[in-house]
Amino acid sequence: MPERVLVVDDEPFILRSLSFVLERAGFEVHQARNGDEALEVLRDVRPRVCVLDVMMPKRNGYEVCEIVKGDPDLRDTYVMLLTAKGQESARVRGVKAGADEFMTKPFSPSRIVERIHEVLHASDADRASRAAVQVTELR
Amino acid sequence: MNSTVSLPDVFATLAFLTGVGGGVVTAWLAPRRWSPATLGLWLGYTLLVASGVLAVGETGAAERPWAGPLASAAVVALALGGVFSVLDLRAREKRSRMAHADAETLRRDIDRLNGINVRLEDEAQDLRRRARAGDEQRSGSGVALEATLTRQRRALEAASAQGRRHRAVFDGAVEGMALLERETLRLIEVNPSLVRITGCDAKDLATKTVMDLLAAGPGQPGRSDLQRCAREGRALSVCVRRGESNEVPIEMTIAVVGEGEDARLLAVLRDTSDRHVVERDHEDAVRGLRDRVRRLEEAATQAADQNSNLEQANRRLTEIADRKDHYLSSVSHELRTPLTSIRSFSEILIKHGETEPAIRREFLDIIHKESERLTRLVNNVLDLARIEAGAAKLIVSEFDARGVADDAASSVQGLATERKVRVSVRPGDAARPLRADRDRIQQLLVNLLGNAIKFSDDGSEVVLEVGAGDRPDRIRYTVRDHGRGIPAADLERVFERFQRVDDGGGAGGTGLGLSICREIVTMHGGRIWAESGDDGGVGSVFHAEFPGVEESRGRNNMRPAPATTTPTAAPLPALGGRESFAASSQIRRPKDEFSTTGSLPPLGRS
Repeated sequence: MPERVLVVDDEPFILRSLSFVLERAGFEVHQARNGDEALEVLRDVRPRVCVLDVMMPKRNGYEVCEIVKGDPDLRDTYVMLLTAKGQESARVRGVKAGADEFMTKPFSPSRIVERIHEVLHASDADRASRAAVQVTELR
Repeated sequence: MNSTVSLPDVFATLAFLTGVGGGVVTAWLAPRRWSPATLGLWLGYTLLVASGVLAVGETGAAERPWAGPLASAAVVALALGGVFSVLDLRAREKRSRMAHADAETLRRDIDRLNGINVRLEDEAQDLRRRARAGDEQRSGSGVALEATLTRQRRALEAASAQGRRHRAVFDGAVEGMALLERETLRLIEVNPSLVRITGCDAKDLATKTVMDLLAAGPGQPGRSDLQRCAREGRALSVCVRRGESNEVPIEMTIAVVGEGEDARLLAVLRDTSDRHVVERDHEDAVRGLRDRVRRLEEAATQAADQNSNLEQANRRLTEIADRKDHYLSSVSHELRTPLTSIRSFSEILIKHGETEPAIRREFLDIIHKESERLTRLVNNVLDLARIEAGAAKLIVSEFDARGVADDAASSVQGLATERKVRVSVRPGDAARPLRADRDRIQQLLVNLLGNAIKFSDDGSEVVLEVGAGDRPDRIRYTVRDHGRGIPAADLERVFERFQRVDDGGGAGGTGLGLSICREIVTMHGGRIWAESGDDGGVGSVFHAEFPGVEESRGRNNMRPAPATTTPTAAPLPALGGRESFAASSQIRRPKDEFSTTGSLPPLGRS
């Protein structure tokens, strides 16, 4: 079963390019064009990774990120913030909102795919090792 | 006749003489008024005389017929006269005695009155003397009295001054002080310090004796001890109640003040506790601090004034900086977005060589569109920056306002066709001269038309009217569309940078077009505003009005173009050659901006 990824941006071309590369990489890609829509999809689909643009109408990326990280059900979603500003202040705000990673526009789509693979793999390994630990403890 | 004198003759003569003599004596002696005595005597004497005379006449006759009876009658009359005289005399005597007695009484009265008179006289004299002395004394004593009064007044003043001083000492003393009645030791008067020490108010204290102030305890002095202290002038250590539960160690001295009936006692109570000293120090410190606080507050007020000025300036600067920041971050975002698309899709095309041709074509299309968008944006940003820096000069010439409207309309024709929108110009019937920078006017109209087309519904019409403004010589361009319109609240805001009405990302504007329009109009001394559409609020209307030719000549910040050169060819003197080229090329840019977009064939879908 393919991993689910949510891509959120108000720019249709960016949605198009990210969706294209992620689908080619074998992910089940969901799209949202603003913050509210993103939260809806997040709750419905429970993607493992969310690529989230910062500058959007109807709740910006930071706000969405804060809600995700404050929600026990959604907290484990890996949030990758797309910042157009590459400025320190944007990064600080993102960290405060609880973002897991930052990508600065203009980004490389293949790099994003790469990172998502790595993240999911690491997460799986972590989960596996934790499970292993649990098993040993049970013994 | 016998020659010898006979006896009856002698008798007769004697009678006669006696009668005459008695009559004379009586007449002499007799009082003027008639009385029975004098009448009798007179009658007797007269009869005597008569009898004598008769006797003489009858001399020789043996018998004397008349002389004898007459003589007898004379004797009777004389006798009667005599009796009456005696009676009369006795009456007179009696009267005389009474008169004498009266006189005596009178004399005594007179004497007495005289005595009284003398005494009165003496007294009067005395009075006069005393009056004189009194006068003297009075005038003397007036001066003396004056002097006395002055002395007394001075003494009084001195006394009241002293009284005030004493009062000040009394009231200001750190020690508690009380004036006591000598016998009862009742508090007649107390000073504020005593009020503080005892914690009672002055009214309460007035009802108490000094004994009431003392705390209960075996070591406390009694009334007699206090009075002995007063006599001996010795200090006494006592404990005084403070408020309900506290006690204060006090050193008390009592002194007698005044004399006799007025004598009172003055009790002085010195608080010997450390706390008191601490309190006093504390009060001093507090006073000092208050002073410093007041001074600091004054300084603070001044500083606050300065500060508020600085704050205002700062707020203005911050606002400007914020706007700048916001603008910069907006520009950054707007630049990165098409750049991201270009980079993403070109990378996909490179890395995913296996992609089917239709999709490759779609991606190329996107790259092309986004590079166009990027170009527009960069041009607009540079344009605005130049205008803002005051570096963009107008190249002014005089031309027909209708011609430039036609040019603008034809330059947006491609976009209009693509969006299925009709663009028409209503140029008015007469030529309207406009004195302005023609390229800028065209840029303005292209922006307004492009904007209208982008927000128009399919099949609707965009109209550009050229007409008179507020005054007949003014030029007003009006662009009407029948699109979704602008909310009334945003009519002002649309001219702000990046204040796009949410266009769903489809319109592809830069968010700077209307800002540039406003700058262009402002540079020409005109005005620009937006309205909601006329027919039932459908669509929107943009007006741009420019000054008339004469009016525009009066403006000195527009530099007229040299007559010999064509306006577009004239270099911008404030800029270097390359920049001036950039400027003029970008001014022309809007003309082909939409046509190139529109002319790009939809290869992907062919």
